[in-house]
Amino acid sequence: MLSPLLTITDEQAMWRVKMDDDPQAFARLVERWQGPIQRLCIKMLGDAHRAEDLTQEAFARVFARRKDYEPAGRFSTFLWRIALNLCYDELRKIKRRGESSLEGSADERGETDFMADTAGPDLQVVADERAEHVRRALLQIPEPYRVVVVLRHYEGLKFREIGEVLDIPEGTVKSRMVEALNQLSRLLKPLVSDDRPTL
Amino acid sequence: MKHPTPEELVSWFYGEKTTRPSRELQSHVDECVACRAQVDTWRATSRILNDLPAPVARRRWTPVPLQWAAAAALFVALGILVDRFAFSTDEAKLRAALHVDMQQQLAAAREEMSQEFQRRHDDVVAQVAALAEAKIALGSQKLAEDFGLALQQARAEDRATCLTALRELGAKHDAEVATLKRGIETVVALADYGFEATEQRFAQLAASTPTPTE
Repeated sequence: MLSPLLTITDEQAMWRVKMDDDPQAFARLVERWQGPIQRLCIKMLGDAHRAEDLTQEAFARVFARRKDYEPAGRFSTFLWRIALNLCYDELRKIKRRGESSLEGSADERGETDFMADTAGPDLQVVADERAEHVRRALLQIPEPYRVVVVLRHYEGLKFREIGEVLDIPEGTVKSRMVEALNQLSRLLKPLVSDDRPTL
Repeated sequence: MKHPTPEELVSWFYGEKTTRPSRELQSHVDECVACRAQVDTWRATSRILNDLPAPVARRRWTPVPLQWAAAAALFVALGILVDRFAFSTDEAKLRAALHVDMQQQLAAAREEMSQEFQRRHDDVVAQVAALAEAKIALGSQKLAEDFGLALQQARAEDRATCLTALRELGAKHDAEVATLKRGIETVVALADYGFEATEQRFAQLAASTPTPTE
């Protein structure tokens, strides 16, 4: 049923959603963007369950605010902003409740790493520990730096695009990226020595 | 060559457009100890950041039987293998067999989980689409109801206006008829009076006229 929609751009699909409340076009957008948004939420919050809920909430909000969408702008910018605002709200709630996203292991938080599981059990344990270390390091750097790292390093957005999403100058995005990389380098230093290629 | 700013360096590091040509920056980094150290640190950090896999969320409400089934199957398989190799002195063989079996069990469980995830993903997409459709239908129904209500209201207002206009027209008509009636009665009265006066004059005239002598 979605085959006629395979070739349309995100902007065209969102236009159909805005003008005709087209459910197929909306389903197409969800299908295309569910993964990136979920990854963003996971890395921002460090909690896969919350991230999944927020992803659904983000798409519900996109549909509710479809009339606000300006076709001159990119759909991805519109969506990233909505998802990031939800992440910020959630982080504020977590802070108010005095919880910490760093609490609990990945397994306790309901995460699994099957996608990375290609080695034997021993190597897998090591890989899990490294991943946990990286996750904690990401959550330790301030949100303005974290979001830039997630969007640039993991999602591959250009610095200019990140500036559009966050509504800040491109130069500021780059400064934040420099600071984020420097902070992460300090936090991940113990892993750097393990990572040196053996001759 | 002057040191590039950290912003310029990070832009180059991620392969984005820079104010200076990329080749120029590359040769600077190759020659400058401080800049090379900075880039090497970022490169190492970047490699480690890539170690964070994309975790798949396992919903809290996910039916547990799938995982328990996998665990139970693994347990039974282990039991059989341990029993089979209990008296074997070849520990390495046992370990290898267990390892292979575990790998197979894990692969099967992974496959099942992957299918389950795909199914749930499809369900979510379908649910969202259905939700959107329902919302649209609800919106159309509400629109139709509102339109009907507005139409009825407009009709009632039209009827009231017509009735008022008709009543005013009737009253005006009645007033005109009454005026006309009074006019006719006046004309009739005047005509009667005229006839009587003429009759009297004829009578007077007849009385005063001398009779001809014979």
